[in-house]
Amino acid sequence: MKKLWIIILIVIELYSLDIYTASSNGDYFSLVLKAQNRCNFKLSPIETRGSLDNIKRLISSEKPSYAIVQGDVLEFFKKLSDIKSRKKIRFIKKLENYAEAIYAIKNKKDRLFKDITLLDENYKKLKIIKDISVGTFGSGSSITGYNILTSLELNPYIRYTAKDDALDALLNKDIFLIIYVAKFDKKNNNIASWIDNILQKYKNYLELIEINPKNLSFYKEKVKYGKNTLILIPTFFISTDSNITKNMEIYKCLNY
Amino acid sequence: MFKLLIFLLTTIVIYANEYKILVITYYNPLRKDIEAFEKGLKKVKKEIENRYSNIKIVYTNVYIDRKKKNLIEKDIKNLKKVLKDRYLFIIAPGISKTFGEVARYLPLDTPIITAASTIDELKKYKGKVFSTGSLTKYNKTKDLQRLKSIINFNKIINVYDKTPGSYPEEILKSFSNANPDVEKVNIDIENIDKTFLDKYGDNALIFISANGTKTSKILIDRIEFILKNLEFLYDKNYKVYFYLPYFSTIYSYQNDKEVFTSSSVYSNKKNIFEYEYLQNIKYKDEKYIQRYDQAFRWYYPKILLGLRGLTNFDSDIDVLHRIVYNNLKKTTIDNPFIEEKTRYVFAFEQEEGIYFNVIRKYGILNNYLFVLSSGQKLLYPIQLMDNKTYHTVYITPQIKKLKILTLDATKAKIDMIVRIACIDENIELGKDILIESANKDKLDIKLLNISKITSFQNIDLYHKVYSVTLTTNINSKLFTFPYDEQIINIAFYSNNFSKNPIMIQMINDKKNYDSTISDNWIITKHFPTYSRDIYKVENGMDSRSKVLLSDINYLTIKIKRKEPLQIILKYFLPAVILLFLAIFISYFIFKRYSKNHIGIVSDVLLGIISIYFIYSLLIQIETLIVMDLIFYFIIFLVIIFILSAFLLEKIGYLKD
Repeated sequence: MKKLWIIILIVIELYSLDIYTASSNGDYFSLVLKAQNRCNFKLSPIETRGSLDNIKRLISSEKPSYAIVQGDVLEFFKKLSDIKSRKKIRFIKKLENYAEAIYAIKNKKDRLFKDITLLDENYKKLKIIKDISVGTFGSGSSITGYNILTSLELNPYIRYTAKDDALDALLNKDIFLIIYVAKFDKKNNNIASWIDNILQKYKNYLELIEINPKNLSFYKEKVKYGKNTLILIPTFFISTDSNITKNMEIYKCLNY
Repeated sequence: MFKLLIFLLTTIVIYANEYKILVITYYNPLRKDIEAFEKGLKKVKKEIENRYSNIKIVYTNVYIDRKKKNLIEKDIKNLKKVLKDRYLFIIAPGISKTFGEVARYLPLDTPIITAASTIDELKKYKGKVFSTGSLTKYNKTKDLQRLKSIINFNKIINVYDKTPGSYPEEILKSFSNANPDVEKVNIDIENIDKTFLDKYGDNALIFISANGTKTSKILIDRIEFILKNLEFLYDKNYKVYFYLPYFSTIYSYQNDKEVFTSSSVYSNKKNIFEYEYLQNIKYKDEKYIQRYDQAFRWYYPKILLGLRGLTNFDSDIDVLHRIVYNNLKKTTIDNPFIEEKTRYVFAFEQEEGIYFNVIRKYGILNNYLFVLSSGQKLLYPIQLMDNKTYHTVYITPQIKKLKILTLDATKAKIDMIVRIACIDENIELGKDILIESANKDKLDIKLLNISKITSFQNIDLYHKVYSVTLTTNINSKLFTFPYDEQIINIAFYSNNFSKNPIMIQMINDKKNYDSTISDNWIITKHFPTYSRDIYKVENGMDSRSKVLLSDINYLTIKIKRKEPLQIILKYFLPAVILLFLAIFISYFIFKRYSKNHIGIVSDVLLGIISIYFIYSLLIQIETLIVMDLIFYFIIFLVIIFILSAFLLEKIGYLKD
């Protein structure tokens, strides 16, 4: 009996599919956990630094692997990588029921930037500017931040920090802005929980502002949230598995 | 833009007697910060005009907005009006667009100086033009060659965003001509990917081809981002170096050993005043070049000289970046003439000649600074450089008594306590360290106390306390109202620096001086400053013409009259009374002794002068400036009296 259990466990383990997500308290991680209940496979979320790290692990893995990534990070990868590594990714499909938004949060008590409610081309001329936090290196936010701030000619001010450190810095007026990419619930028009929490907790200090990067076709989809318009980013399920049926099955689990 | 403007203006002030200066600017009159911007322009104008009294600066803005044609017409009309009126010296600071737009409207014989570097525009213009850009271009080509010997690259990757920068292109072109063995690869940043970097990303120099410092910085940041992400994705290491044609971009890369720019590469160990990089420039007017150099030294000395003086490039670059960065942060454009920027200039005499190094003053190569609890940074007591030992002497002067001399208002008598601390017991104030006194006979230095103190991380220092009495000059702005603010600089400098090299660091006594130090003056500020001028210090400050062997350290004191109103009460009011008295006496003498007019005149003269001297002696006089004026006025009145006496005699009023 004991042996049978061990065999069952080994079989389950063999059939457990590793999916690279971002941090364990991030949205991709919980997406995979929730998807487990509706799936015939055992899905195991693997903690990583973020979307770019997901791709890195995916292409360097010997066995077929799976990941959830931000659309713009995938584009970034496609543009920079060589054909060999691009070919490794066999399956790419947009998660239709899941979306992410770019949140730009500033400290409204910071007198230097009190009039800024929209970050657009005009801020090229801004001479005194503090750093802008875009998440840790290797995260999806860092690529989004880079893309957006480059188009606004603000990339010299990019600072790579974890979100909690960035929040401290913002509250201390050490930085000008946090750019953070996280889930946006289109159905209920709800923003990401971390953003919601900090906006509630520090409502006298923090506020969302709008970003309008020109000439960036990728960031065209927008959604209205309160006074602001947020930019939406599509999310993709990707895999190096050549088994298309299996990929589709996992995709269906995730796309609830 | 302001830095560049000041830079250009100081470059051409040599022509102050020949030209008025018309500064042609190019800015959007509707820009958001217009108020601050125009205030800045005004400030620059004021500073330059104050500094160089012959110069008159006229601004004209020729911002050309394609949508508003009336603006263009108005500007050109204004320009023509000014052109008609005066000789010109035209400056289009830094913005090549301005040069291109404006130059064609100007008469060809008008001399133009510009920092514009767009070669195409410069070539198009057939008149007299001198671009500072051409000087740096030459220098930078040479720097690239020097860099080649340091990092031994065999490929140069010319990276641009859409189009290459015209100025960097010129540099690269002249470098490529001289180095056909170096492979040149052109690439738009949009096309840089793994395949490209796998092929070229090993031991290559990435040449940042952008117009302007900001775009250069953005370009280098983008490339670094791509590199780092690719390295992260593929666990690879690309070995590339960066070269920035725009010098001022470098400060952002304080920790990057792989980022080079012009002067960080080219280490000129000779006397930098020779400026060998200028020798091959054929420009008919040498005065321009000399002035250019001087201006450059004034505004970028810390960076330029520091970079040039470095010998051990690799180990110093990090510290250097930090210092340059920190200093640039301190730099404010609103104070273009602030001493702070230039005060660290220091010189060394070596076998191959004199060479200047601003950074070494802070012992950068071996021992960096201590930071006291007060926040003041101190030099390490022993400085080891080029196998020589230099001792740092810490000098803390403290004023005890200050008196502006009664009979000469340009001098002050000062009693002070001077504390010196040094590792070497034999260093003496008055022997190794001199103090400048306006009257050498009255300079009195007495040693009061010697003690040994242990400080600076358990290093023993000999601490000596001196009592010093001296007469010093006052930097008075004579005849400038309100006559109640003066500056005094007390100079301390090392004696015979080449034989007995010591470093002086002035430490400010943070305490505020109390009001009893002087009877009628209060010390409002006191702080250490350093000279920018070049002195030869051999047994005193002899000559300015020879090279610097030490800089001059000053205790600078700002003093203010306790009661500015006293100047009216003490001088003007008595002066008016005195005048009426003189008129009354004159009238009395005229009436009484009207027989001999010469006698009358001499009596009047004597009477007035006597009253004046009695008055001078009776009241306590802080300054004779006003009194001198009154004296001349009285002399003038006396002359009038004499003339009127002759006149009265002639018309028969006075009879013998």
